[in-house]
Amino acid sequence: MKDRAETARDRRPFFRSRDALVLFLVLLTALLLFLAAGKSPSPAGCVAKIYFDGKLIESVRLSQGIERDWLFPERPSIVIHQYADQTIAFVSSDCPDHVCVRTGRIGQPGTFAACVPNRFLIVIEGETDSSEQEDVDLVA
Amino acid sequence: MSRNNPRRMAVQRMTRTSVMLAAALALSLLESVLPPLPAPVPLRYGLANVAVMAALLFIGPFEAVSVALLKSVFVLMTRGLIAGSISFTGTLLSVGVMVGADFLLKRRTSVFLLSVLGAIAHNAGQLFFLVLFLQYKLSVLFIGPYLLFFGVLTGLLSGALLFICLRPLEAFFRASDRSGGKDSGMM
Repeated sequence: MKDRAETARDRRPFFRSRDALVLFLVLLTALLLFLAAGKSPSPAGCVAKIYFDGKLIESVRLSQGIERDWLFPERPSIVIHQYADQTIAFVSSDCPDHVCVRTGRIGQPGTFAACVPNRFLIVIEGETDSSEQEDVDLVA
Repeated sequence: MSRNNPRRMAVQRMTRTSVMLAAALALSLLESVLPPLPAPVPLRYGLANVAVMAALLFIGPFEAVSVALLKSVFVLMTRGLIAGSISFTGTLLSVGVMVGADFLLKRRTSVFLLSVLGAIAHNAGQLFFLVLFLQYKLSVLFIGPYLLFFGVLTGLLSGALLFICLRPLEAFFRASDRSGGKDSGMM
């Protein structure tokens, strides 16, 4: 009788025809969520909301042509840079894996970058519909 | 000592699980030097899931859960409590979904389905931790599509990697089984 290792390859094709249904349902759900998110009124501009330890500490309006660094006394090692092309990014952090810095620039509503070890979070929100979304979509 | 000796079998399972854990840690380290995914939200490739799935397919569900949990313990020790907790939540949900799917489909789950379900569950687990425990103010409506879409992509990647490795892994396990039989005096 074959053991678990011997049967692993025999019974495991890469793809079965029934997987197509699962794949279709997952992608359909993703598309519906994407369309639902896109129904919000198109924002005139974007705001980067910077949270520390779950509390909002700064709202940065991402305006064209404005470029500056943001430093915070809560974590002096964190440097957030606002770019002239209406994006923002973590550029420096003392966290071990630098996932936050590697995330790069963000600027589209709904996108976020997080420095989890330092408990810093940047979330981009549409300027016109942020309060409305908080009522409907935000889960925390 | 007989090839079916319970003590020998237990040692063999533990050794195989340790090899899979080492592979998971190596893949995790490899992932940390790869360029980030071109996604609008921070996501990882989930390469370590290849080793967890291999443990599930070749050794068993208990060993797969062990590999996943010990990998999170390693993250906890090297990257701190919060990173370890995020890894723990994502990993636990991921391996739970994979083991559950494999059980429900009577061990006939395809590599693709197993991998994609694991990747999506991993992303969802990490998001739940960020939102529920760290109180991150994130919109599920905005992030959900990206998590699902990139879950399919990263699941496809890790599933393909595992499928490529199935024959070498099978050969490795057969060889270790044979050498275990020869060296049974040492076991």
